[in-house]
Amino acid sequence: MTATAMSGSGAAARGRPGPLRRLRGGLAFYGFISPWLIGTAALTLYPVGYAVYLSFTGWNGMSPFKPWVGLSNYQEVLTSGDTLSTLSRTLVLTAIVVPVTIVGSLLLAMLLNKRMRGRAVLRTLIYIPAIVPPVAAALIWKVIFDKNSGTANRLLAVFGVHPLNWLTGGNAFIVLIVVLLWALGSGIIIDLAALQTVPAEQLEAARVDGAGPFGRFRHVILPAISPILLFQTVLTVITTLQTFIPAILLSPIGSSSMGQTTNIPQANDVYMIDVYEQFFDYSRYGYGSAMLVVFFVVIVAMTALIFKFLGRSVFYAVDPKAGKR
Amino acid sequence: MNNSPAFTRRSVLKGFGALAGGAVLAACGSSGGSNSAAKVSDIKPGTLTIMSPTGEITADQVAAFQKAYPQVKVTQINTDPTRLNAMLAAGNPPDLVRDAGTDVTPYIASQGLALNLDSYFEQSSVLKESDIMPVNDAWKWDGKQQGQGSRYGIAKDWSQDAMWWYNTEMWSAAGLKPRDADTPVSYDELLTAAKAMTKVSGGKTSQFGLWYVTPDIDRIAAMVATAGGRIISDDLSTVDFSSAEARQALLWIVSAGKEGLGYSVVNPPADWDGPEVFAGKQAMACQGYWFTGFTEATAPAFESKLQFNAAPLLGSTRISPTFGAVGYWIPAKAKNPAASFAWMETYCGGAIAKARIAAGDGLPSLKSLLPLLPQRNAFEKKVVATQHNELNYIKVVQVASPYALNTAINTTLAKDFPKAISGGMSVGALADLLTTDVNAVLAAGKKSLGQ
Amino acid sequence: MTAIKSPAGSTDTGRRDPAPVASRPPGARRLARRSPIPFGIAVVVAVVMILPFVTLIISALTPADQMGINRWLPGYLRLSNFADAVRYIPFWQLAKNSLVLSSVFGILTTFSSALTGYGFARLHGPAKNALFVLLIGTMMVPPIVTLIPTYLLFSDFHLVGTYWPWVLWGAAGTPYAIFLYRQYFSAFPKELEEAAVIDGAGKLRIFFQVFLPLSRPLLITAFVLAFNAVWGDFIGPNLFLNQSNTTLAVGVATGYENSQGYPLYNLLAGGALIYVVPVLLLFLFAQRSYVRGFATSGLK
Repeated sequence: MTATAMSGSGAAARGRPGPLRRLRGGLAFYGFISPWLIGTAALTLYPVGYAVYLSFTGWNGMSPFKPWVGLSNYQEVLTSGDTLSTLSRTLVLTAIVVPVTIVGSLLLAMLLNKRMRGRAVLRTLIYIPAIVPPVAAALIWKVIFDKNSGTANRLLAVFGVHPLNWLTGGNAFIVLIVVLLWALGSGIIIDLAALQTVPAEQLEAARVDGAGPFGRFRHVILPAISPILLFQTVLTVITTLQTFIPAILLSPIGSSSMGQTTNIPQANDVYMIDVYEQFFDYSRYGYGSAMLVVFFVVIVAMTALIFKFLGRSVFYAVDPKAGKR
Repeated sequence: MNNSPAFTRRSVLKGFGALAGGAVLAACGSSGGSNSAAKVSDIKPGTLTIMSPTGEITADQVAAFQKAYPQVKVTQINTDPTRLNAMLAAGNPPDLVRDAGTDVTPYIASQGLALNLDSYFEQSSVLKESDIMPVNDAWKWDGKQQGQGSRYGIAKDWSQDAMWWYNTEMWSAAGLKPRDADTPVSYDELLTAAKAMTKVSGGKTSQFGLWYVTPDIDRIAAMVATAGGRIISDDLSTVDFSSAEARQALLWIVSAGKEGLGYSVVNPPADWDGPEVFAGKQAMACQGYWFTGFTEATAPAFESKLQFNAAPLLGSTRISPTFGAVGYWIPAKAKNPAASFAWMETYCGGAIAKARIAAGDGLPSLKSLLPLLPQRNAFEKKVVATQHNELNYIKVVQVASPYALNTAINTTLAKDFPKAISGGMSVGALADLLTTDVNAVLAAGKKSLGQ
Repeated sequence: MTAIKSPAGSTDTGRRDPAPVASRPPGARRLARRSPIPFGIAVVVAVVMILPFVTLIISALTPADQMGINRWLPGYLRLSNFADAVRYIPFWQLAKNSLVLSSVFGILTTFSSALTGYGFARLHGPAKNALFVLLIGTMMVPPIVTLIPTYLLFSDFHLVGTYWPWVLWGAAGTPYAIFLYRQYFSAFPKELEEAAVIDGAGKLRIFFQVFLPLSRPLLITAFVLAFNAVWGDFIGPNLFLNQSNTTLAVGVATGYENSQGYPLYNLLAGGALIYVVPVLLLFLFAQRSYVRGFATSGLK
């Protein structure tokens, strides 16, 4: 990384990266990123810091009195059966949804990579659910699974089956998974692009060597697309852990507006819902903030774990560190 | 379109929700001292921001108010817990908050969130002390108890929400003898009647005998009160569900759900009692007086088929409570409290109130408005007669706590009850579980107040 | 309708793609190219994905009294449900608000993210790597963390109830978009800048006149993503806006209830359907560029 391209105006000679030039270069860098930097400091870092501060208090969101409770909120987060069960529920949800999403999306991409009639149309149709705003998606599925007027039960009635209560009890969890998996197609754009980067000659060579489709996949395709898959996995894990809107909008009765956490079946009581309840039902701002800090740590830890364990199998055709000429 | 006084889930939750927070960054605890110079004639020109469910306050009503007070412009914000929370935390609350007095008064009053309105009431020519109905005791707090002390709000309209209706045709079709509307039924009899009217075929219930039973803390407390018991401690900081009366109440709720006599938390309805009754899916509805107007508006055919009855009793103490007394309170930091109070006067006792009461929206806050209750036909006359009789039994049931909002408590209840209704937990175990869980919520609340 | 084309067709990015694309191997195999199985599976999947929309349309056309009936299709359809749906809430007003917010935010963040992405990709400065880590880190922050504190902050400046928060958020850029831009801009050869520098161009001009025009697909992608995010955002407007200026997301999610708070599913379905149409249209029109935007960045 030289400083040659850094200089501003002037045909100043290359290879003379004096301190002034570097300073000016640095200024340019900071100049360009300043909106982001300032925005992030004010709109992300400060609120996060404030939340961390709150996590050490027992504030109820109302009184001017913010009693300092030290680490007791954290203690409670880590030992409370309720909180831990919502956390484990969220982890289970993630463990189910993420592999299915990544694998499913890849399979679909591979499928749609083959030549076929109407391929472009099919791709579009499969991708469309990913475009639908999450709020609309949740409402769409709520309409479908509503016990009394939903399509699912109407269909069952055609076969003479009793209407099921989809949105309560254990069924609710399944419905939640369905809602999250509906946007499976969102990964196919990236996967398709990734598939284009698989070196054809290697593929052909493998074919010639007698490798079957699985062999070709394992040894040629997978390594080539592994960086993308890693990236996708991490992103999907992060977003699935934070599932909130579908869980709250799928509540079976009462209005669909926010704040109706009373109706959420226990099966859908995921971590973010619990956080919301702590803040706005129980007025425990301090505890809720502690939950969020712990959650952030969990997210970072999981990301690190994924990088560590899956990162090892990621094959970089080109060293990511080099190549930035 | 009127909302039933806070006893239905949504309005209850919205009411509570509207409360879930609110930092008064200035002085806490204005406990009982009156403000000086609190005259309605001190109205400053400006905006009046009212937090109220969208659609409840109509454009006509706003216009009427603004005509009377042209220097004030009304803006509405939809009731939202997060929003109110944040506004109070920022020190910039709405000028009026629509809420359920029975549920929020101890909380908002003890923490100094709400303005003590005594001085305003003293000077009011519309909301005169002698004229105010006893239901508004729910908006009173004296530092220790709800029901006495200073006023912190007033109901806009209300009903005695434990009263109930039954479909006379279904009732007699099940072989039940017609009841005297003014004699309270026992909860046990209710279950028996419900059983007779519940029709199940092929695993599907085509007709529910009972109404939609929800485990709300104020309902349970009221049930227990009619048996002479009490759930919450005298200092409002702990609960106990293990008394015989409390267990009886819990058993009733669990049985109703378990035996499928009515919709329950494990089997929620598509719509509230009203539409379900009108669709012939339910034989009973647990709604107060305001249901009259709803029936006339949506299903006039039912006017001849419904009977309005006195509230049921678990024991022998006759109490017919309200689960709302929905009205308004004024945040302590409101910028134009005189204008806020002017709204209260007009909406809850003045011209706008008169129009609403005459339309049968609910019972009035002022005794002088009682004659306005519509009695245009036989249906209305009978209903009003039963209602008048019932008015003698209104009483504040102690259950709301200054340490936690009912939202929090009801969330807990909704989590625990399914364990007994469909999960096989015994009522005794449920009682213990509820006691533990609700006490945890109250304790956390107490701690956050530094106590 | 334009459809997703294979992104490999694009060659205007100067990317170093050594091999021809794998989906069209040189020695094309005649066998199995038109096998009906993959096509069949793809059709089934596509149908499954679209089915919810179909059911939504049916629900939207169902009259209120047919909602509880145990029949597959309602006895009769009611087109005027849609008219009711847009009357039940101030639909067009809310839609206009959503449009304004989404567009403003979209445009602002598209350019702001590009600026920042460019900075990370082509410029250098002290602590740059640390800042990049910060960027990634901010993607992991659950939005709810910032909710109340941000409200307090905006409230102090009297910006609640206005659209200013979105202007500020837009100006700050979006981490994901910044990341995409950074990947994208990193791939350009140095010669591009050097040429411009020789011509005497300053950094800003280089950015605007050289790099930005070359990133058209990514601009569109970033805009579509941002527009979508605001169009679908519910928590934000619910907290920061008033009844008079809130968005369609809030309206559709909370408005279709009767006075007791029970949902009116047929109206809700109609409203939700109309609500998603604009973003679908946007996507369909911008498809080609949208796909290319992803394809040509973030791949390494």
